[in-house]
Amino acid sequence: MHLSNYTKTQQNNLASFCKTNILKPIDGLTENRIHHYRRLIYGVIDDSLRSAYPLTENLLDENEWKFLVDEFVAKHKSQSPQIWQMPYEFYQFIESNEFGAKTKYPHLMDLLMFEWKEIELFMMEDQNDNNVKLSHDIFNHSQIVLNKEYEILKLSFPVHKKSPNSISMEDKSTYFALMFRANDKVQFFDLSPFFVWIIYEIENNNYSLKQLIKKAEGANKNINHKIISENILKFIYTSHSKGFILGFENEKGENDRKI
Amino acid sequence: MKQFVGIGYRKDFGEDFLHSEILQPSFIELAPENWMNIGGYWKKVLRRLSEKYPITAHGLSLSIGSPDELDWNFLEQVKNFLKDYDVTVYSEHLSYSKCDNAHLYDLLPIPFRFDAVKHIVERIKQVQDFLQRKITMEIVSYYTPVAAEMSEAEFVNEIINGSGCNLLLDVNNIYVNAFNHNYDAHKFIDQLPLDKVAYIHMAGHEKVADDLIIDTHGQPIIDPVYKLFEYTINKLETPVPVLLERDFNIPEFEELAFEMNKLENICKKSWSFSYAS
Repeated sequence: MHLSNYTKTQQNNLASFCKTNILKPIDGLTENRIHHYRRLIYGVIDDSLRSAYPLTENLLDENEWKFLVDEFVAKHKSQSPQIWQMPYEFYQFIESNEFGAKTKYPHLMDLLMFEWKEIELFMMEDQNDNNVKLSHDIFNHSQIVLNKEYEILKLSFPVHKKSPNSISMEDKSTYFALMFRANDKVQFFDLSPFFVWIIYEIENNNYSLKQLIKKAEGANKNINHKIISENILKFIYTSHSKGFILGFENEKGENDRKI
Repeated sequence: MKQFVGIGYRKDFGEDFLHSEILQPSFIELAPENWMNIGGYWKKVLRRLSEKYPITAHGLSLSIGSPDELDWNFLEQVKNFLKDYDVTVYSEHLSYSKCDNAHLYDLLPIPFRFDAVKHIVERIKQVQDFLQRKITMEIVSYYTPVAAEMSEAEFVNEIINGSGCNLLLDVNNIYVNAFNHNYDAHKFIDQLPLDKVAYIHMAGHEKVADDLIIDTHGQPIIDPVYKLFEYTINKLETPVPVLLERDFNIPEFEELAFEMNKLENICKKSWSFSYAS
């Protein structure tokens, strides 16, 4: 390291000013211009966060939003060299610190997570195997092929179902939201615990539809089997039409992406 | 298709850019940080862009002048990106954007100091060894000096010559710096190692006070900057790629095409003549 402590201090003081708006001595500075650096850096971060969290920005009033961003800029040390990933650090920062906004808006963390996951899924590297042979033979020996670009969020508030401004403590419960990327878009829908279990079973056991229905009937003996199979079929068809289920892979290796 | 002039692709251009007959750049420039480790829609767009145009890469987060360590994991990703998309030029900034273990996402001015020169020369060499290619470093615009003990021109010369890297000459930055720090832009350019210029950037700026211009990339290029550009390229011995940057207030493609055509005509006038003579 060739940098002297003096030079490092000058650099640190400039960077620190940009984060905190507190100016420590910097030699040779044009003082009436330095605020532009803070303005530019703050603007980049604020714009990026507003773009990532439009629902949260809308929920909070301007002072509440500004306070959180001020705190984040001043106190958080952003680690990602890719600015599109920085908003996740904002989520983590809010989660790990005490803020009045979290008390005032008990669904704030759910909302931030929901908004971040939409970005993460939209941007994530491609996960699906394009070489999988997909068939329309859904009932027999065909394994259900899930779109791997998905996530199931467990939420305490229905941020995926209601306007954030209308959510209150009365809404507190357990919710599941399925989020997935298909056709270059992120889609989501509400899931009951039963279908969370169904997805888990498909994911981990490579079931065919027939095997899946049998398993579900065995695990839910008190429920009418017809109702179970009808609901599973409806879920499978809906998921397939929306792109959450890619198709059905069979041993023959047929390649037909329609059902 | 342009011969010399490319354009910085911005996501605001969308897919229209791929179908447009208006712009016809000779290449496009991307910031690797915005395109690495992604999939889905933008990955598809990236693939189509790379099939249609040669790509140059202009990095944002190398932070060559930082007191912090270089991020080798990040550089590995950059290296893969350059390879995957057959990138011809990888450029970065003579500045720092990370300090005290925090990314700041904008460019801060490095103190023009001898120890900073040594520090940066060594780091550029390390980066070039790692990437197995020369990198091209841009003189950035700045609004205040910080603890300077040498001139800006000396600082740049020492780094470019000491490290063996190439120079990205952002002509607008030179104009902005000359205005903000009250020096002659032409004389400054005369002092640079012009034989090391491998790439030129052109952009617009915004005057925010009587004595201050901010390098916004949000306005059209003004005539004095075109004139400085012409002055500059007449001094270069060989043609280099020229890039139009527009990051904000993105206008219609026709307006960008107008600027690109103007730059292309200046290039043709200067460089065709030098070929013939």
